[in-house]
Amino acid sequence: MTHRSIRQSLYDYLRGELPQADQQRVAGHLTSCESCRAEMDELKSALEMVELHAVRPSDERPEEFWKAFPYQVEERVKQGSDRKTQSLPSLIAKFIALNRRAVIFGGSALALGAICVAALVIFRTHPPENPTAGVEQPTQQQPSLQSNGYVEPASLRLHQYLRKSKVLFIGIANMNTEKEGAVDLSSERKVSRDLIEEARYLQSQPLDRRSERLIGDMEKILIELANMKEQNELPNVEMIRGGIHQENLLFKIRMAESLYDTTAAIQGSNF
Amino acid sequence: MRAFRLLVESYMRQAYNIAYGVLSNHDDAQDVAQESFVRVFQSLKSFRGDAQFSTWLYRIVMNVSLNHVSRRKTKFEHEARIDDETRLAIAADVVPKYTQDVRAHVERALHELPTLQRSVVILRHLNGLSTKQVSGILRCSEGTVKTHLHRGLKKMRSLLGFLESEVV
Repeated sequence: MTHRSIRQSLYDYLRGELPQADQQRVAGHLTSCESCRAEMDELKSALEMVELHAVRPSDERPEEFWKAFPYQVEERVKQGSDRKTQSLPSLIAKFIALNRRAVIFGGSALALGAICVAALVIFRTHPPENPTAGVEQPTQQQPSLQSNGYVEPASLRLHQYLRKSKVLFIGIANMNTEKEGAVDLSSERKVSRDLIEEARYLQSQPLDRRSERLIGDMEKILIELANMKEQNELPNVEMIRGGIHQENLLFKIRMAESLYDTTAAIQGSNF
Repeated sequence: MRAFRLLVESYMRQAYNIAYGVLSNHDDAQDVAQESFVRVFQSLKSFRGDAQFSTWLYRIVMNVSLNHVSRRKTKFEHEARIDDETRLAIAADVVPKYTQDVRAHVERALHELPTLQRSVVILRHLNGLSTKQVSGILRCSEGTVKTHLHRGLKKMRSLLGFLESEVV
């Protein structure tokens, strides 16, 4: 047994779930291998810590809750078939009637958003002359930076990195999950790998904290995606999508891009 | 319908616990578990029987839970909901206050894990499913399940390191 296979078996070993022969083999290895033993100690303390406070959430619900549960499911099954017969316009009308305040507030927010977008578009008509947002000022240890003060490669690469990541994540977020069967993720995997390499370069540059954090957040998802099989099943894609939504990555990227553009435009207009 | 009710009764607690693992909220877990059974009912005809029923059901629960998380949009919103009044009110009668607080930390640490690691920890460790069954639910190899379980638990330990001095 290799160190890797021993470490993979440690969880089952600690819970006594390995076959007798394997249990003895792992025990034998642990007596002679210090690093695997340290690994086991660490895992053991993790198990104790998590298990100590593990209460089954279902036990927190009273028995009446569980008696009603199957009937509530049946009710939802019936409602589900009723809901299918309702038309979209009638649902929208019902929503507006129930949420009048929210609709007015939402409309105002949309109008305000439209004004902001228009302002951004006006700013963007002035070409940025010194787009340094997202990247701190160059130091002497940055030979890749150009000396004429007009273009910073790291800044441009950050901008491109964000744009490519956004396109990749939007593609995954909009992937059709209704169809059956495996999904081809070969191109997404390749793009993820390229982006991980690019992230490594950017992380070696003097970035501001916001950009550093964003790159770190995106990297977790990109690594998961890069390590997926080429032909993949929808549940795995759903997990990636869940990660993108949970980290709120698309919003963060858009914010970073708009801040980048605005700062660049303001700096450009000052010249 | 009677046969379906028996199915629901057999699996409702486990489905609820898995949904709760992903969502950390009792109301959402109830909603997701019930919605999963509705989907099962609607697609019972398409169940080919080439996997165990429970594997199929738990895969649906995971998918519906993750979709539910994505609808919540922001992590901030999620973290706020972990502490919501419903959870505390439900837990108040059953779990001592100190344990509730620590559990909230454990749940937060769980939600810091990448999605696949979190799913593996929820299914294998917190719900006691076998490695084989987890690999069937997540459609990945058993080796992947073992690796992610190991890494996930280690990461949780490092995130919860500050509790160590309090644990007797």
